[in-house]
Amino acid sequence: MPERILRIVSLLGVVVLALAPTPMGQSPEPRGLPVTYERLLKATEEPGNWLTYNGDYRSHHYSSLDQITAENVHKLRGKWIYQMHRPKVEATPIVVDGVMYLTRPPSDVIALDAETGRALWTFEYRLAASVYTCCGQVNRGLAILGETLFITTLDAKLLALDARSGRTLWKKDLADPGLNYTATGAPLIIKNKVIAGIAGAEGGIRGFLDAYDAKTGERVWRFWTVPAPGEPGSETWKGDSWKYGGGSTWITGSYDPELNLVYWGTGNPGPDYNGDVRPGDNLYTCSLLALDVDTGKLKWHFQFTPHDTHDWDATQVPVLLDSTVDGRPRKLVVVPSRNGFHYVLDRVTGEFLLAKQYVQQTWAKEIDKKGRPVLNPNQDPTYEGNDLVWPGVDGGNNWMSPSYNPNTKLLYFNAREERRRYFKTDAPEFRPGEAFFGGGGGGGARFRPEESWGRLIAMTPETGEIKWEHRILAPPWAGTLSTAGDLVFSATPSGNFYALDARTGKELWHFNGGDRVFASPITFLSRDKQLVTIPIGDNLIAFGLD
Amino acid sequence: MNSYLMRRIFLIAYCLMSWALAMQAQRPAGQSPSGLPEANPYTTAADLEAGRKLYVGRCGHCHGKNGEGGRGATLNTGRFRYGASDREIFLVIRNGIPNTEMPGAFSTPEAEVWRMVAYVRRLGRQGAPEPATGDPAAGALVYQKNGCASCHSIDGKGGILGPDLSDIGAKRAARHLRESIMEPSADIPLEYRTVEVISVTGKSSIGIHLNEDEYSIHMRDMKGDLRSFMKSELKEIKLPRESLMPDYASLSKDDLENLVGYLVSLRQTRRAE
Repeated sequence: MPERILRIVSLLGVVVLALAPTPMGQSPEPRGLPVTYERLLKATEEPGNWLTYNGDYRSHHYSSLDQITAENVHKLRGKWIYQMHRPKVEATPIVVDGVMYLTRPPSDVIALDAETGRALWTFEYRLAASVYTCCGQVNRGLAILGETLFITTLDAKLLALDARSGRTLWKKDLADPGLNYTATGAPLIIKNKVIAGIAGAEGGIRGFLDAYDAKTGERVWRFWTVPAPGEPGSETWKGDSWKYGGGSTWITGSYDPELNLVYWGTGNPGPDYNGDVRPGDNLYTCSLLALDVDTGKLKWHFQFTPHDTHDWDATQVPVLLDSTVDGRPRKLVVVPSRNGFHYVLDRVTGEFLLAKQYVQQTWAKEIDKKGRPVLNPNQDPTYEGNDLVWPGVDGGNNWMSPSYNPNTKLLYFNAREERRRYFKTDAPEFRPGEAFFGGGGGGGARFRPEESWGRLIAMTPETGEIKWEHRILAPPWAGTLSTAGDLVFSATPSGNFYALDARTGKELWHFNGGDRVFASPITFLSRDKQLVTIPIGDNLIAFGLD
Repeated sequence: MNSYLMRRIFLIAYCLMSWALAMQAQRPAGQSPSGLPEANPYTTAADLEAGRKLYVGRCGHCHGKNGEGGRGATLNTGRFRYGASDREIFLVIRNGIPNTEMPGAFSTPEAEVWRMVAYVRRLGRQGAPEPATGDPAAGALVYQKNGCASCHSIDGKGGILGPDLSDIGAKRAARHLRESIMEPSADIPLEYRTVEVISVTGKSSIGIHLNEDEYSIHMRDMKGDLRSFMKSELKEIKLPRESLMPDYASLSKDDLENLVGYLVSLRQTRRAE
């Protein structure tokens, strides 16, 4: 059909819709809105809600709800299921006074009644173009400010939606998806800004972190994670390699209001597995950045894996906590890094305090006093394939949310024990719509399933000491949730959602959801009753007591 | 205007608009497989060398560094079961082969896939350095005499404990088949791993590992029955590295070569789907 006729038919539809006296789907009455910045600052004072991607600005992914306890968790049962009919659901919802806002691949948003799981409205996003993605058409969540929801889309847009209706308020380009930019992470609201990251370092992008005005969508600042020639850090790149240098920002960071700093992890350099064309440390890839929220200026950075050739993005959730180290009160940020070491940094200055190995690893002899790895030989990818390297390409940890419990003072996270075969190829040419790997982290190797496994670790975060651990069959992709009910919730790749005693690690309950889990659990109140939800496969399942 | 009429108008307008938008959205974006050229556009000496490096890292692990085969099919005979044109080889590398161990190179740049195609075709012109020399008819008798059919099946006839061999000649190189007969534990397919469970009362059950999670484990036992066990009711789970298949190292050299020749001859014709 000619385009002109299509346009006329579309226009006719719009006109009739506009003139219709009754809209087809009546928007639900707003409940619990607006969510002000002040409410976000005090998110932990609203345990009945889940207001940000990681529960609060410190990214503790913890709830002070205590209706479900170690004593009664065995009575937990399914309350409702919301079926998404989409592959690889990695989303963490937010919940505001009885309404759950959820994303669905590739970039849809659904408002659900949190008591029944019934949809209140659905926003189905049409991708503007085909998009190159390395790892599936995923979306990990959204943010809220006032009465507006914010989501990044797979085709690298930032959208503002009316939380009452799902209608689009504004739409901005983060970057050109035709150049392999994509977006999968949940934005973070700070003050009146929407902080949004980008993905695509397997496609030859140059990464950045952006801040947008929440009202207008105008960009306030951009921090390029790969510096241009002449900028600080550019000496760690050679020639034009910076142009396709990677450094994605695809997982939501944390925020310290007192220091006015946002903490955000960056991903791998490109090409991933062939580092020959980018000699140097390749700043600021595989790093944690501390940026001034108002200006986007870099306050400090810490690079976990200089000149990475194993795809060990540092896009783990940075957890903020205040504690005493060597008798001195410290503001800390802790990160169990994908490279297999747990790091403790001073979050005021970025000073390196400690690194401790938490999974099997072969690539580093040690981390020196400045936090730099001392490398072992023969650990790089080779043309023939190097299958002696631990951890695997998916790392000792990954993007899944960890949980810090202020009562037990333990950090709970899932560790992945595996090795993989790393091979490299000649450095690829950059082509829109195509990968920019320069090798791979699989390549036909066959390891016995029992040669890889998972552990939910309970760790004293200041020291890296493991208090207890819970072994699971295969390396997990689920986050953790700890609660004041002395429980830790998580899930396995085999589809089992389970609860452990937060103090001992004893398993107390499990449920077979029948599909792989790529998501993190949350908890909230619905009509004053505590529910716990997690996507298992493409089903978001809510559990509660009778 | 009454509300019934209004709803009908609204519904018609909505359907028209949705259809129009869907028509717009369905326009192809990017290259579809059917748009691929028949002939490989990347065939220079530099492309071949790049293809060799790509092949060694990605494919050599299963197909052999020189295409001599192994766990993967031989690529040095010039016979390609899923089509021998450049485009067909491209699609096999790109998409893999469903229900086999051949994965797809989904995220590999198109140019790199074409370079691998160029190198695979070069391998195909080499000729197999180690053809199967045994007599298939004599090998069929060796197969029968040694009771292989009690565990293996060919064209629906035989046991189910071991792999189906109906098409084994297209999947495995002679060298790999010879090794599997002489030393079955050297390379066990993941779906044919042995498992032994011992109950709290000391009762042992052995079979082929079918499935497992944190709480249960499942097998096909030596009789071919499907069995499930709760881990809480087991004292021990063993995953031995030994195959359930006994070795046939005592076969005479002639019998071994004839058996290999028979197995290599087992090639189902490519299905039309």
